[in-house]
Amino acid sequence: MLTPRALGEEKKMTQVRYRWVILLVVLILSAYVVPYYLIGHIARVYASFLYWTVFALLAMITIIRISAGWRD
Amino acid sequence: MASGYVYLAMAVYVIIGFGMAYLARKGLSAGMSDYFLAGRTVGSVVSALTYSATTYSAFMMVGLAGFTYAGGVGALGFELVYLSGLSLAVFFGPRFWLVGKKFGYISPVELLGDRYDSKVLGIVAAVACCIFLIPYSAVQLMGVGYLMAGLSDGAIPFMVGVFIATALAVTWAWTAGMRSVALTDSFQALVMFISAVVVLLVVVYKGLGGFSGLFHALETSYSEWLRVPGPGFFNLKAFIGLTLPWFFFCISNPQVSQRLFIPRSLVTMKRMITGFLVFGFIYTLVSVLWGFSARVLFPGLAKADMATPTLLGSGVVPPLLALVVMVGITAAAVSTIDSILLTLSSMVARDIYRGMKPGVSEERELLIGKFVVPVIAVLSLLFASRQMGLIATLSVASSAGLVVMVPAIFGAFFWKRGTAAGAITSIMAGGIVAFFLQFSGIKPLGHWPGVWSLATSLVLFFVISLLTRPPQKKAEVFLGYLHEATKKHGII
Repeated sequence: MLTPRALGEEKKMTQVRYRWVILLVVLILSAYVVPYYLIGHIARVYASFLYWTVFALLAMITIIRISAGWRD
Repeated sequence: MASGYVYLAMAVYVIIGFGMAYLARKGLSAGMSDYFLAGRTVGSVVSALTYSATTYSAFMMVGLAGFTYAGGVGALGFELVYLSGLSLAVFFGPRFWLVGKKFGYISPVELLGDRYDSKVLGIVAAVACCIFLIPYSAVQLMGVGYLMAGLSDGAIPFMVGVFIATALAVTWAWTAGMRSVALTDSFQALVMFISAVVVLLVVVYKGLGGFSGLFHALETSYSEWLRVPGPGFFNLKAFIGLTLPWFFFCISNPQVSQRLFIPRSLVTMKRMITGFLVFGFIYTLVSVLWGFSARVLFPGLAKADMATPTLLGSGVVPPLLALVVMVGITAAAVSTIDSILLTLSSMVARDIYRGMKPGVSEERELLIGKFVVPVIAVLSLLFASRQMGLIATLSVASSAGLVVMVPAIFGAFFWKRGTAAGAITSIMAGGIVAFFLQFSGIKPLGHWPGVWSLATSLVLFFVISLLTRPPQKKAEVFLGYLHEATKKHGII
């Protein structure tokens, strides 16, 4: 049986996990929605080319940030 | 280019590779874990480089450059969505590593078989991996054959290139298993990366007046290539069809997910993922810019796949550098093939042979595994030599075929109610759907095979699992351990 403190920690952990998952889902969906529905018609390097590059950098930062807490 | 130079460049690459494979023998001891997973003691740099070299095949500098040449900026989006799929590795990577160490798993399908308490599942999943990955290896071999034949103006026959690549992959996989594969992969990753970056800089600065010149030419003369969907290839359904299976690549492809077992520690795995992300991001940009450069310099090619050979054979790239890039592309192919050979061999030994003959000794199992390495290589070589359309179909279908593993993998870690029957049905039916749609060319509602194979396997896994009895005890042991271990190691 878990103590109230342990239960609280578990709940917090689950919330943290959901927050990261939601952030990632939104970010990944944006890689489809933004170029295909918002800026895809702009024939410039600063449009879809730049967006996908920035998207990948943000995804990389998120991934590195999530794994930062791992310990042996 | 004279064939002598091509052979000379290959000889230098082969000698260094053999030296590294030989060095890797040091410290090799008996046992499946040591041979197939390098004793789970691989450090950060080698882990990151072998992960990169295994993931990125000859497709990048040839296929992706061709995609960019034909379809424009959508190719960048496709490959970067794939890279963002590494977000799955932050949830699955440490979990694979923890249970791999705790329960002694050698292959990713062994994990599935044990978690769902079914040897049949292990056998089915291993067979499915062989069906889709052997043709994929064959196509990589064919790539090397075409490249060497093209660069030597036909002086080096296609089959010589195929044979050289096969021999290298077998030898480097055989010498010391994962140890030699990881070390030669690291060397090959550096060759791939450095040669690609250098040749791009040379082409852009020598042929196009710098990056501003390239971008200016694109915006003024090839503006359609900067638009989405662009000149025609990357409509939304094609983009979804390509990206969906590849997004799951890091968990669906066993030669990649097996690498989640090998880091020395979780901190090492963290560095492996970061290293791969940096490698992948730069390598993707380089491959796409390479394709764009070909579009500006040689706009009239009949086939997009000719973009890279044309650039390399043109006067823009100095002959010596063209040779280095040829070695880089060969390295990309060989480093993918030897990893596939090793992974499939571990599955045949552990999941198929031991699955059918329980109680077999580890020595015997290892012997079978080592025996299977050249057998799979010869099969790939035979497929490559026939240059059959069916092989190309299976190879293209590999991402759509392997994505059917994803529901069972998700269930293994996050759904107590998942069952072996659900997993087996989803893998078999999803695989059949992938193959049928790819082979027939049918796209129901305009969607690509990977979308339908994933949807089929997802629905079947869920429904059949609910209709059958889950392995309760096994699930409790497996998930109970993970519950405690993830808390302890700071894994969300």
